[in-house]
Amino acid sequence: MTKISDITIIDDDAITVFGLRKLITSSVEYNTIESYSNGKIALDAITAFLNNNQQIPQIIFLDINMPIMDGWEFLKAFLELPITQTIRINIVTSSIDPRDYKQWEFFKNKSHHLITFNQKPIDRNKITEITQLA
Amino acid sequence: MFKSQNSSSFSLDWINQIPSSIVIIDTDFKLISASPRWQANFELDLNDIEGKYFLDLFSELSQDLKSRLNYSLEGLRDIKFKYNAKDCQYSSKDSIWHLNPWKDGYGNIIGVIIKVDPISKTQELEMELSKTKLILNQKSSVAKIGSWDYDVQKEELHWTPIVNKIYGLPSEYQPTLENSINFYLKESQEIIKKLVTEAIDSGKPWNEKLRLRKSDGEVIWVNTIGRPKFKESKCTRIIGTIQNIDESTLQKKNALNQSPTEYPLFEKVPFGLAIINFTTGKLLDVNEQFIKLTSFEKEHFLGHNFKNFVNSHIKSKGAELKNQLKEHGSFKPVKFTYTNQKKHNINIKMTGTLVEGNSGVTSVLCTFENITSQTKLERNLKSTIASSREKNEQLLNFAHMVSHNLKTHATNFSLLLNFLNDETGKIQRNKYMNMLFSASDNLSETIKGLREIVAVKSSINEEKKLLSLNESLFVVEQNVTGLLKETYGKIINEIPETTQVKALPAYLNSILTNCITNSIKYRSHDKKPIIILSIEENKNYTVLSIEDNGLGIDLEKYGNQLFGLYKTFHRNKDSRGIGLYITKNQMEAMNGKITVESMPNEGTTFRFHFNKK
Repeated sequence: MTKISDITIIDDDAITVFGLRKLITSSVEYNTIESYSNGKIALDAITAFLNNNQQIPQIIFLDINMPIMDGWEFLKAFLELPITQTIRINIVTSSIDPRDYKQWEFFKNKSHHLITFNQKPIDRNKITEITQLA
Repeated sequence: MFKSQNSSSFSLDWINQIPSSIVIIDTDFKLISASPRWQANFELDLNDIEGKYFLDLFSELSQDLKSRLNYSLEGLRDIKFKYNAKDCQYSSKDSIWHLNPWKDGYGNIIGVIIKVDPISKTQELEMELSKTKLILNQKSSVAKIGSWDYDVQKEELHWTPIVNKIYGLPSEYQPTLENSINFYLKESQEIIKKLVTEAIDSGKPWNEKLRLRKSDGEVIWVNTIGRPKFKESKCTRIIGTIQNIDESTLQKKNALNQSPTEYPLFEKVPFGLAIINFTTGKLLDVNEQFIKLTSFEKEHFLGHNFKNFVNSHIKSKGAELKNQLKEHGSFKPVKFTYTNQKKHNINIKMTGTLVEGNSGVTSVLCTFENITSQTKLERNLKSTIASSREKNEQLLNFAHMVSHNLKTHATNFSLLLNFLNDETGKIQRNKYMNMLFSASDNLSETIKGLREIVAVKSSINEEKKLLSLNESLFVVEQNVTGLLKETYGKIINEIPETTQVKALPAYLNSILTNCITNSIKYRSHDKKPIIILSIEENKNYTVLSIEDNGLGIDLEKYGNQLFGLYKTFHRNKDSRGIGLYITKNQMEAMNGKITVESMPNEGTTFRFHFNKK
C-alpha cells in the first residue's frame, strides 16, 4: 500500500473528528492528519499551503452541515483552486436529504478530483476502502 | 224546388197516422210536414211552421244540423244527431235524431226524414264517441291527428289510418294495446302504461307528450290524449288521439331563429341570455336574468355594441371567438370580470351559439352565468393547496433535519461505545466516558432545539393580543440583567409608553429575548454593547428596530442564510443556529416580517414588522 502523506478532516463535531482519526490511524499508514472545524478555516489553510508551495492534503474527509462555511461552499471554493493533482474528497454525512445527494452528483461530474459520498456510520472496512490515493 | 213541392202534395197523408215523432224537410231545408207526436214534442203547430226554413226553428243547432242534413241529402243513412234540450227553446227533453234521406218512387232524394227518439244512456255515449270521431277526422286532415279506440273488455284496439302513418306502419297492420305501446321509447313506455292503468282504475284522462320510435327507426314526439269511458262505474273503453308534434316543435325552433324573443324559455332560464347580431355586434335582446346580473336597465344594452360592456381581455379575444363561431357554430366558455351598476365585480362565464335566422340575420345567443362564488371557492382551494404543499415541503425538510441531527448523535454513540469496548486502559476509558457524556449533552441540546421549532409551528393557531411593548420589554430586560452587567452593556429604550403591538405573548417574549441576547452574544470585542430600541409606525405595521454596535454580519455573503436553520456565522461556542430561524418563523406566524441591516464590525439593526391586523 502506498503511503499517504497528508489527510485533512473538516468537521465541526469533535466526536466525529476523534472517531475518524482513530479509525484512520488503526487502518492505514499516513504522514499527518489535520482537522478543521469548518470549511472556512480549512480553505484558508489549504490556500496558504498552495501559496507557499507546500504539500496539500491528498485525502479530505468533508462534513456538510457546518457553521460559517458548510461542506458545499467549501467544495465550490476548493474546486476553483489551481490544483492539478487529483485529490480524493470523501463527503461524510448523516444527511438523508436527496438534495444533498444531487449536489454531490453535480460536483462529482464537473471536477477532476475524486469525490465520494458516504453515509454515516463509517466502519473500519469503509475507512480502508475510501482512504486510498485517488 | 218545384219537384219537391209536387212530391209533397200527394204523399204526405200517412204522416198524421204514425205514432212516431217525425218531421220531414225538403232539399231546401223547408219544413214539409211533421207527425202529431213531433208537434207535441216540440210544442209546435204544423200550421204555424209549414214551409218555414227548418234551420230557423233550431237556429242554435243550425251549423251542426246543416252539415248532417247535407250528408243525408247525399244519401247517407241513419245519421245520428244528439239534440240537447238545454241548448234549445222547444223541448225540455234530450233526444236523438235519426236522419235518413227521403226518396221518391224513382229513388231520387227529395228531402230528409228526421225521426226523434228519446235518448238512453248508452246511446248518449255512443253519440259522443261518434261526434268525437267526426271532429277528429275533420281536424286530422290538417293536424295529422290519428284517433283510436280501445275496448277494455275485449282488449281490442282500433285506430284510424292516420295512426298507421304516424307509426310508419302499413295500412293493414292490426294494432294491439301491447304492441302499440312497444313503439314508445323506454321512459315513455313507462309513462303511457301508467296512464292507461290510471285511466282504467280511476277514470283519469291524460294529455301527454311522449317519444315514439317509428317502424323505420325515426324517433318523434307525439301528443297522446286519452279519455276513459265508464259504463255502470266500470271503465269499458278508452278513446283518444295521437298527434305527431315533431313538426310543430320544428316550427317553433324556426320561429326562434326569425324572432328570437319568441323563444319560450328566453325569460325562464336561470341564467342571463343575450342575443347579439353576429355581423354588427349589436345587442338585440337580453332577458330578465341578464338585467338582474348587470343591475342596469334593458335600454342600457339594446342596440349598443357588446364591446362597450366587456373588458379589454374579451375585446382582444373578439376575433378568436368569431372564428370559433364560424367554424363550430359556438365558442368555448370564456370567463371574465364584469363591474355591474352597483360597482360590484362579478365573475362571468359566457358561452355563445350561432343562431341562423330564415330572414338571413345571423345572431349569437350568449349565456351568462355568475360564477363569482365558484371562482372564490376555486381561489380558496388553490391557496389552500399551495399552503398545504408548502407545509408538506416544510415537514419533509423538518424530517430530514431531525433524522440528520439524531443520526449524527447515534453514530457518535455507537462509535464511542465501540472504542470503549476495545479499550482496556483506564485513562483511555475515562476519556471515552467523558466524550460519551458530552455526546449525550449534545443530543439533549439538539432535542431541545427541535422542540422549540415544533412549538413555533404548533402554536400558530393561538389568538394574537394587543400587548404593551414596554411591559414586555421590561420582563425581558430583567432576564438579561446578568448578561448586561457582565458585559457592561446598556439598553437605550426609545419606545413610547403607549406603543402596543398585536402579538402572541410567548412569541413576543422569545423574539425580544433572542434579539437582545444575540446583540450581547455577538458584541464587538473592543466595544461595550449598546442596544437601541425604537418604533416607527406605518400603515400596516408597527416596526420595532433593535440596533446594536456588535460584530455585524457580512450580508452580501450570508444574507440569504441568515435566517436559515443551523446556520452560524461566528465562531462562538454557544451558537446553535436556531435563534434567528425561530424568530423569523414566529414573526411570519403572526403575519409579520423581519428585515435586517448590518455592516461587519459596525453593528446590526433588526426590524420587526408587527402586523396591525
